[in-house]
Amino acid sequence: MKGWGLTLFGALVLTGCAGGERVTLMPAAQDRPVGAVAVLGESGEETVLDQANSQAVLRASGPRVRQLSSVDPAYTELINSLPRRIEPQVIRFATAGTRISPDQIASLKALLESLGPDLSIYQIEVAGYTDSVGSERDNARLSQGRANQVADLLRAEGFEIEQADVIGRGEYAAVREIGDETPSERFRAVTIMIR
Amino acid sequence: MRKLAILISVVCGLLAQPALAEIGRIKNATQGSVEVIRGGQSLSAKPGFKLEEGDTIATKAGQRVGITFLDDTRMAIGPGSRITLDEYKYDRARQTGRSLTTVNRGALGVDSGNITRTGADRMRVRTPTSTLGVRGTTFVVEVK
Repeated sequence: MKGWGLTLFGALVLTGCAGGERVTLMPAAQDRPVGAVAVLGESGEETVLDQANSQAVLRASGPRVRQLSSVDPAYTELINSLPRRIEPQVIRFATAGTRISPDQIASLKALLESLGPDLSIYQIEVAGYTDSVGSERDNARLSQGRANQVADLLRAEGFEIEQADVIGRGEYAAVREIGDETPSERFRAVTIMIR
Repeated sequence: MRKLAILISVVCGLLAQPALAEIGRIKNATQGSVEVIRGGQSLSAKPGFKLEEGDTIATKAGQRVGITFLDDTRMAIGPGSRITLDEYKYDRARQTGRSLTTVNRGALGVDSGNITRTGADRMRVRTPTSTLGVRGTTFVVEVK
């Protein structure tokens, strides 16, 4: 009997003993690509899932991939319980500008008030950006100035914004997306992300 | 005198430790408070609780928890799960970083954020047998 127990234990170890591990790629939300998840092997090999409803059963000996006709409803329910994503609010500026219109502040205020009486569960992140014209240092300073100004206006309206959440993102995004020394209104902005 | 020098160096060493910063926040939870294990201590967490690198989140049977991270990654943790946020490094100015999350047991739903735009597999999820590299997507990992 003891021998059988040891044999069973050994078999479980050899088969991974995982009791079922799997990763399932879910259908993408609207306007987003499905993307991919790779199961990474120790020797650099990888198994890529890049189709919605594809699933890899994960084992120590390597993954086994299959295409599901439908996804477990429990998975769909889990994804549906992700915290709601609130679209970022964007305020744009003239070149080197830092002025904000009262209308923009009023619409921000309305959005924040629509979230309910207890805003303490939310993180309000205020991030300033610049285009890529000028030096990295000057743009870092300008973007921080824009972010500080918007944060101070919101604080004056009674909203709590931690200083760690007031960020100057300078020209990094602009350089990445449109190259250096390129004027662009799109990046002369402050975004307010509520999460 | 030597003991005093050792004491001073220990105190200075402790003070030199960087304060752990918020990496994300518990946003919603069913069935009351959630257990967060931090530095071996069990904490009772409610919506608004600030998570730190190294935290483990343990859900009860029937409980579900939603989390948002600084890079806009969102996670939903299913019932009876135990998930550890092993690593989370994010430069909030450059919007680049890397993360490693371990699913010890249970179910984890993920909608990935900016870290996955930093480069392939900068966001990783580990299970008892495997490591996953995330390339900008929505997925569920289950460990029974």
